[in-house]
Amino acid sequence: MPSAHRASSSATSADPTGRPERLPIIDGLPAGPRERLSAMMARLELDPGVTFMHEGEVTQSLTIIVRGRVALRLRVPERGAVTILTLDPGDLVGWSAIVPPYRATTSATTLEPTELAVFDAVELRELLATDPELAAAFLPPVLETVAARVAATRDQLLDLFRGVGVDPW
Amino acid sequence: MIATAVTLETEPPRFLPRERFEDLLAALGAGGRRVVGPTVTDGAIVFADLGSAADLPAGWTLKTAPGRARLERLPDGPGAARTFHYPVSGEGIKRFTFPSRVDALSMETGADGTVRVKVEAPAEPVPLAIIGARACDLAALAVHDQVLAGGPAVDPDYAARRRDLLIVAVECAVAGSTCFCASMGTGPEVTTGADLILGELDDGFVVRAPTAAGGRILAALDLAPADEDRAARTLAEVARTRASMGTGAVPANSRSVLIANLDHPRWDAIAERCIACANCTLVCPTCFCTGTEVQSGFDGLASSATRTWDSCFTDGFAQVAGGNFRPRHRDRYRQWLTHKFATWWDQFGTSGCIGCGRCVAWCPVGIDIRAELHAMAGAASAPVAAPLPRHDVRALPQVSQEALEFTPGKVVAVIPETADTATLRLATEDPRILAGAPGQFVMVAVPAFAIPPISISRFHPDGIELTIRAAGAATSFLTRLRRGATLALRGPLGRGWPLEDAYGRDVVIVGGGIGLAPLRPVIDAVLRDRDRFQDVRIYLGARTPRERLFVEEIDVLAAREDILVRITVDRAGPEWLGRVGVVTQLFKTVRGTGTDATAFICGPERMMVATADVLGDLGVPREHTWVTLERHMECGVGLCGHCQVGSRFVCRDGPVFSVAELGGDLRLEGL
Repeated sequence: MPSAHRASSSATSADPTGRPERLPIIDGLPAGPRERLSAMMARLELDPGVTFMHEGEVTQSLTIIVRGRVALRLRVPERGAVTILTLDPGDLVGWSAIVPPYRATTSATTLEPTELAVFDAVELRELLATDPELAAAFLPPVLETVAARVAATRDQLLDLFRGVGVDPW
Repeated sequence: MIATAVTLETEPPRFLPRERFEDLLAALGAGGRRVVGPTVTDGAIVFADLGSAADLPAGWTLKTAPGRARLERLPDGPGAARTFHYPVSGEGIKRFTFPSRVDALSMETGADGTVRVKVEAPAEPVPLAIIGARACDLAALAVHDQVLAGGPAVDPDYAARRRDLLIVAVECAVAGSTCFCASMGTGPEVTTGADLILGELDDGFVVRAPTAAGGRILAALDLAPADEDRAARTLAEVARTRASMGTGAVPANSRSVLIANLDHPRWDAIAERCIACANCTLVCPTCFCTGTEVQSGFDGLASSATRTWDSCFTDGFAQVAGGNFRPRHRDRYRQWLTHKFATWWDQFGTSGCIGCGRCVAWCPVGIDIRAELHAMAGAASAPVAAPLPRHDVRALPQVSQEALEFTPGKVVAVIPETADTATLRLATEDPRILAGAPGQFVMVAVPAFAIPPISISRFHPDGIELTIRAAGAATSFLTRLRRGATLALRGPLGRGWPLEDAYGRDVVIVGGGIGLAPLRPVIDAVLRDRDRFQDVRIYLGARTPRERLFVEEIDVLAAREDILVRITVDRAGPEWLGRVGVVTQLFKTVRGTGTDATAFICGPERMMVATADVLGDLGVPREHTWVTLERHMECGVGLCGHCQVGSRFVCRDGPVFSVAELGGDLRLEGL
């Protein structure tokens, strides 16, 4: 992990609830699963320019952006790093932590001072495997996130703002 | 309306012996009136100037079937010398009232560099008499009167040609297998539009004069009254013609069947046969779509524009900078047939088909619209329903002839925006343009180039701005103009953004790419009157950071505390620290948007649909979600027919529409 980050447990957060900011994916869960997930949540503060997830490598954690902005990037050797999506507070980074083969499909790099809510990939998978109530509540919003990204990526593929065809004028 | 008035026939019919037909021609031609009628030319019946009665197609008939029309000699016998014993000819009388080529504009750059555009005065045609028009031709003429002279804009050339026209109609004594006027209620009896009506018998013609002009001709001929037997025989012949056609050639509910089945697989089946040759539109007496051809000298300093017949079957008909809205033959055939039998009603209160059957006979592959309509009705895949209530196009304000004139605009500044886009700041003194509304557009003319419609991207007290992407020859030239150059403007045109719909409400403005340009006057207006609106949120998408428009201006807006501005790009390198992703992704963090919001959206159509969907999910009502459509526009006032989307002419009924108004048409491919 880069040196620029500072980790903390939720229990030591300045706010007594441990989650002073809105985290829609967590907030929307029933009380029981929400509490069990929150108990395993850690906090991570990162400076801008820190790559905390690496394309092609095993995803170490599923994270939710508390504040800041994160770029999902792909390596294209002849073009360098290409940003294909940026994510804002409330967005989920690292869904591949709970989806086989648990390998990151993009790199994730902070663009601003960023705070993340962090769930260790192995612990989270174990919890999902042993806690059906939590799995049933948590997986649909994760799937919703992935589906929205697929749909948005399709629109991006269309490159709609590029002029095509022969202009009659 | 210019339609020739029908007067009560108070005079009894007269009899014109065949040997005196020459006298009729002479009476019609008195005073220098040009007289045209059917002739046999190149194996077809063609309207041409008549030198004498001998030029008429005496002794000929025409046999028609789907994909077939052949002249044949009449069989020997008493009727062998009949003159009009054929059903409709390949061409009607359209080219005399609505010629295929009409001088439209002349444009020149003067010695002082000033561009002048002159709208050509309407033709001053010599008075014309047409002999041999049929009931269907006259029904078509009445349709054209509604389309081209019924407003909101009037085609001045058509109006001039219609002004002094004498029509001698013939009631059909024979129908072709392709004729179906009886089913459309337009014939074979002549009920409207004729000054004289002929019923042909072997030895001559029973003549009626339903108008005063026709009555004067008849009086000059000094004919004896037709005896009852002759009058009865002509009526019987027309009755036989009617009976031979039968009724029900097309389903009575064709209009609702078509509207309910815009995605019917039958369209694909037709498209497998249709070769998009455009013959049907060329022979159709009601088709009125036109294009503009520009001819230029080598120096490009002077040019002229000609209005020409166009066809919705041609490749370029629905072409715009972003692509082609009707790339497939099925799209074009569906446009043509649904226009004739369905959306024409919404636009003009009549059917666009008058049952002449020319499109059937002169279709080289023999597609029979009667059969297609029956097939569609018989296998309707969607429930047949009454057409949706439509935008009331007949309630639109009239367009004055002055509004069709061009006015000068002088380039006072050129602001480069991106590699291919520039903003021209233009000075103009035209009060109409200065009083334009956000969302309206102007037609922009410079010699030697086609005349594009361009959205106004800002209003100033003494001019306007146009933000133009170089996507073709004309737009490339415009973006390279220098300060001091002049061009010609016509407008402002169209219905703009309804700002009043957002008074007292939240405002959501979503722009994609060059789509920000037509929204910029909305942003200006909202900020000028900020207190009239609740929360104001602006979401902008661009292809890349370098392709953003009005960058400094938007940065200033983004720094304001009384509005929210979010910008995203579709793709970026690591140097870009802003947002990346499609514009709809921006909304997920603003769940507060909802029923109290009015949205104004402009960008590629798919982006607008996706945005409207997301906003709809957030609760923004469809009635308060506004989009602006881009379509091919040649005239800007609803006369050229290019920009139709369903029953709407985008240029005059839009380009701004609510998502509720557009309904399913917004997402129907190829419409």
